[in-house]
Amino acid sequence: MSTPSAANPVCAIIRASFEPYRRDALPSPQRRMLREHLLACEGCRSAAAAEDPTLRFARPLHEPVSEGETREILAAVMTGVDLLKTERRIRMGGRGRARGLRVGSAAAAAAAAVAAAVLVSSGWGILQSPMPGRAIAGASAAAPAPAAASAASVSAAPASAPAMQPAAMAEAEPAPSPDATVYDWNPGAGREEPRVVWIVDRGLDI
Amino acid sequence: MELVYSQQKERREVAELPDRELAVRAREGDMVCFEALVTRKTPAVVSLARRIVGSAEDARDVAQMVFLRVWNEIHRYDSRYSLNTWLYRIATNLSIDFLRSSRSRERAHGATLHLVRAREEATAGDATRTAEDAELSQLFEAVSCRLSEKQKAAFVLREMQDCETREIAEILGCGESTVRNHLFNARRILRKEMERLYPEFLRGRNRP
Repeated sequence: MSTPSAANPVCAIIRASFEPYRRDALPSPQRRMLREHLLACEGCRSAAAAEDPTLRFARPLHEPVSEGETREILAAVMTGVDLLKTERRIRMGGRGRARGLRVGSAAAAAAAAVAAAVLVSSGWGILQSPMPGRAIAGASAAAPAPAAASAASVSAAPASAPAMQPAAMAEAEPAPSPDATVYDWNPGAGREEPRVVWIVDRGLDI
Repeated sequence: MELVYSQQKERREVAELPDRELAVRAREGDMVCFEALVTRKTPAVVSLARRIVGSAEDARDVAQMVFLRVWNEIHRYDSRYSLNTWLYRIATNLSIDFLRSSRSRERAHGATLHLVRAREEATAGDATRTAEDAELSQLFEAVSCRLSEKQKAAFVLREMQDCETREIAEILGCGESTVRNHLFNARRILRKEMERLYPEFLRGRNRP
């Protein structure tokens, strides 16, 4: 282990600051100076670790996030935002009915939508997770208000799979009625971007 | 063609806006600004979540939840305050929630196994900063299991994100003295765990 060098007074000052740093008693400028010095000086890093091993963590530890990963996160977030917008619209429709705005039969009332998002993008993500429970938990964390009207069913189907598999739907939600309308939104076809399929089921009164 | 050029120009302009301006415009419903905000803040949010939840994959999931929460609650953002503090508060709370789930707890305990491999990789290759970061990251995962969620969050925010104590108090919703208490206890527990599990780390980088 190296000792403070008389030839380098900066090292001596830095090493004398370890103790107040650990007590969180170092003013910000000195604290910053110590951290920057530790990054650059191997000798002081060793001295710091010998004095207190937790001083090894006194540095920024950035997680490498590639541009591709950032794009994937952004794509998943924007898809989630679209789902949340739909939930809001559905909830507003529900409130309208509660105020007596509903006219006609249940079938003619504001369309009850079951949003089934099939995110046909390879990789990971709460909105692409193979575990439906987890995906719903993620969506509800973002939207604390009751989201009973919306059922976000998530499938991790590979890109080559058909857009909607009735069997896959049956696991999480009842299959849509035959007169349901299916909207297939696939703006990034061929570019591994999320694909969203909406099913508007007018036979379902929520 | 003109429209595409115009959109690209708008995105370039938006990318240069300061954080608060981006957040204010996103609050007013500007989705281009919201996208720019997500793109800009993703690395910081993933890094913070990664240290707290202990897994890169989980951290990316948490980051998605964070930005969905941001979109949902952007109307509550008060532009008089730092966007980072607000964002870190959401990220820390969601990371802590995630950590409390049994699944992520199991992963954190399993991190010790990864440490051996990470150290082998770090020493086999050239000793670059990246390898050292990866090694430290794995070490932290292994020794931080015994920290409470708040202790872990306080330590990560202070040491790895270099936040001020006052800022951490705001993020965690507690007093500065409580933050200092969390930091003191976190350091004590980490030191004990490192001495118990990896005594060689006490001897600096010249390991036998």
